[in-house]
Amino acid sequence: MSSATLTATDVDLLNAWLSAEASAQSELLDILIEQRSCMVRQDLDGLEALVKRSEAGLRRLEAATRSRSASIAGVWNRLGLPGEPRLDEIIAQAQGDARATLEEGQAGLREVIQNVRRVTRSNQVLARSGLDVNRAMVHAIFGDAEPRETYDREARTRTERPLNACIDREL
Amino acid sequence: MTTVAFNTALSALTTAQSALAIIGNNMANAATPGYSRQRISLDSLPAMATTSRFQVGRGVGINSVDRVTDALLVGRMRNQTAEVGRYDVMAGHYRELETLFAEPSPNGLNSVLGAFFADISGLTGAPEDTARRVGLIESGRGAADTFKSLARQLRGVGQGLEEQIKVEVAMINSLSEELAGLNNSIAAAAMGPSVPPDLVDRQENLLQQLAQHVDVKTIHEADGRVTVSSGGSVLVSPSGASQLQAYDIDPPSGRMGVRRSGASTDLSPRGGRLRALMDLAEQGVDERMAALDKMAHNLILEMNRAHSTGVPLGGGYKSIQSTNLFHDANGSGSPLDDAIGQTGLPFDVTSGSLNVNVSDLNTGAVTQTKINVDPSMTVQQLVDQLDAIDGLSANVDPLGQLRITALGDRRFDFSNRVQPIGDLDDTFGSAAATITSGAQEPFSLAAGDSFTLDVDGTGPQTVTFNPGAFTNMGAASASEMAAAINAQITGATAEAVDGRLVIRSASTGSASSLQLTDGAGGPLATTGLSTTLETGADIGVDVALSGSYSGAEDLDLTFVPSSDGTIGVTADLQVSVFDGQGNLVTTLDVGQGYAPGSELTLADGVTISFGAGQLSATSGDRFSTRLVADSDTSDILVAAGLGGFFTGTDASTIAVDAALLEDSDLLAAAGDGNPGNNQNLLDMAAVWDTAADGLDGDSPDAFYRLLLTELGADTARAEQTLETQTLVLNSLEARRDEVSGVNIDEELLQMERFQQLYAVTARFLQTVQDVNDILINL
Repeated sequence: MSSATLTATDVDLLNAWLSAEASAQSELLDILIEQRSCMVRQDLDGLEALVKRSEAGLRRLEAATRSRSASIAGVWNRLGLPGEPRLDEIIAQAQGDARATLEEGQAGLREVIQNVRRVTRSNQVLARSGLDVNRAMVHAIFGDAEPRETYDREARTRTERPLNACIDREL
Repeated sequence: MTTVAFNTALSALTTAQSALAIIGNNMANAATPGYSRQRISLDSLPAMATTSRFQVGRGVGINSVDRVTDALLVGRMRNQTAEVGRYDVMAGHYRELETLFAEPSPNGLNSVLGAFFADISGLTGAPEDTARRVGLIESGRGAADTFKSLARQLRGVGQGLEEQIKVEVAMINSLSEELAGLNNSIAAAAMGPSVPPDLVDRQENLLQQLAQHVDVKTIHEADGRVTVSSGGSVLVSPSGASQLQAYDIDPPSGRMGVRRSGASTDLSPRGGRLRALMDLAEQGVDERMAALDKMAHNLILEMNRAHSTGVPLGGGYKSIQSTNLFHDANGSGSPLDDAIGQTGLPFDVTSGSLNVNVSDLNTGAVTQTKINVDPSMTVQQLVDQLDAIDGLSANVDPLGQLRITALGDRRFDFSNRVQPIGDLDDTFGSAAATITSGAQEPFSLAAGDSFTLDVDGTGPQTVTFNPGAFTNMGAASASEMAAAINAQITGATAEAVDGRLVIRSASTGSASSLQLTDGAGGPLATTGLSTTLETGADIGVDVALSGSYSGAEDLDLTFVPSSDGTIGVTADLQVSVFDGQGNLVTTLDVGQGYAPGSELTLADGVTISFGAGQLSATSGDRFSTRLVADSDTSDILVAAGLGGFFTGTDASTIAVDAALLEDSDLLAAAGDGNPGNNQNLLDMAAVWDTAADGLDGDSPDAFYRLLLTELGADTARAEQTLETQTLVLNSLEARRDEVSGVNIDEELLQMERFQQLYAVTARFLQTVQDVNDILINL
């Protein structure tokens, strides 16, 4: 048990991170839902237009990740808690309204993340089936020829036109 | 949540398989004419609420499978197809006609006619050559056969067009039936979720096929059925197809109409193969046939005009009969009482004259007789005039065939030959005693005027002039006086020559004499008739005319010595030649220096010679002769088919006269009775390149070349138009393919793009998942 207590500043810092993280995830969710719609309609133009929004969404996710490191790890160290930083244990240090606020923020973030994960999984199914169908069509039409892979083993793009320079770089 | 994800994945896979099937169908039909590529239209399934804040999608479904097509473009293609069909038929037809005419080639009409006229020219070098005469006749038969063959083939083409029209109608009916059946299938399918695109493709394909035959207008019903009409008739309606029928409008002309069963008006398509065939059946062949008939008709006319006025070997015809019949127009049982112009002769007879020459084979004398011909005169009147000519017999048999026969040792012809014995009455040179009036008509006489004439010393014969013999005694003509004298005296004859009264004894030599004595009223003084005793000369002057007169107008010539003297001896002795109006035409020097019997140029291809003898102007020596320009200005010979080269009236009936085929001597090569004369051959040869009224002022040669030129122009125009219309159609088809066709490259590019974007998406999704796996455990 830590002898230090969670200050109001700590609580504000954590709330700010939770809010930023939830906002980034919500935006991701919007992108994913639209992405799914494009794949359903096989709307390649719409899908291509989403690439830039996806890039921006990843930037915000990246910013939220940096903010998470600064807030959770900082508070965890100041409280003198052992092991890997965990949000549940930090929130357990809080009292009263502060604790309730943090718990509510954590629950909201979890729900958004759950939805993002669910849509991500369904989109992955759509993308994989689309790729499978495409591969089957190419195979049916051109025999043994296979469609050229977009990425090589080193995850470098083979396309002449950089569709998603940011994504490639980040990944 | 797991069930939702499973359903989403399943719907995606099902949709993807459908998309694969559609794309595979597109690929398989990439080369199928008229196939419109299909596109699957997808839509997301309605979302399902999972929590208060989020709706979860349930996957994807097929909204529809659509044909990618442009209705406006398809309509334009149909119209263009009709135009291409139309000009395809026209170009093919004209090419076929060009093949029939086979020009230029040795078998073409131009070559055959050229060879025929070359043979005519070739014969001019040896008009008597039997082998060449036979060759020319055979050449003419070849030309006639070529005309007939061409006419027969043209008629065949015309009949072929009629058959093609029937075939087109049958094909239109078949396509209409098929479209009507398809309408039923489409209507049945329309009760389902959508009309199968393949049925609509088939419908479009049939409409496109129909447009080749006839231009079509379409009205599409909401359920996909189509109403098709053309040229004011409905071919296909939602209730079924109409049947078209082809029928003969006017069987002899080959004109055909097409109408819907039970309809009262004809189908009048504006395009397509049927339109072209109907146009060609009505005009295309008829125009060429009419031109060919016109050319053959004119060739028969002009060749027969020339040939019938020539002279065959042997100095003329012994007997000829008309190849065209005088028909009984008024139903009297005989054509004799019918006007010539009403008897159905195939060529027009005009008001004019016919020169008939009767030659005596024993004496060589030729008697010219000019008879008048008018289309209003009866056949009997014509026959009577011919029959009245000394030495001829003429009649018309019950069938209407005119036959003319020379009697005894005589021959006849209708040439414009000159009278070889110029001074037929032997008055020039006074072999017979002759008295000529010093004055020219009119003569002022009074009732009871008289004189006496002693002929050859046989005693005076009194001539009294009475009013009944004159139209106006105060202005009596020489011919009226001559007739009155001839009626009252014997042993001499009187005649009018150049407006003067000439009295001639019937005897010749020194025993021939005339002595006039004036009587009551003194008519001799009035007429300038001498009371001097006139006696005949022992030696007359032989006058001989030769050559063929080529002048444009008939010429009546009177020959008068300028003084008394001896041919070839007396200095400055001349013969003056006057025309019918008394104008001096020429003066012939026959005095000192002239060799008796030598030819002197008279006029337009005619020469004259004077034998030794004495001329007396004092005694009134003179003679007259007529040079005939056109011996048949009425065209009665051509109309009746007398002495023609060809028989028939047009390209289908033209043939060489059967009499010529049997006897080449009947070929009238000469313009006179001389067997070596080629004047008529020259006239016949000139037909080929002489302008003719019947050919709109063109020569046969030019007319035929014009016919070929027009045909060539029509062919070129049709082919150029076809080429242009085909280019437009190809362009429309290319545009249609851009819209509706399957482009494999495009499909592949689409798949590559699909690959890239889906791979990017999958990568993105993996990133999101990785990040959130960390977060969810935080």
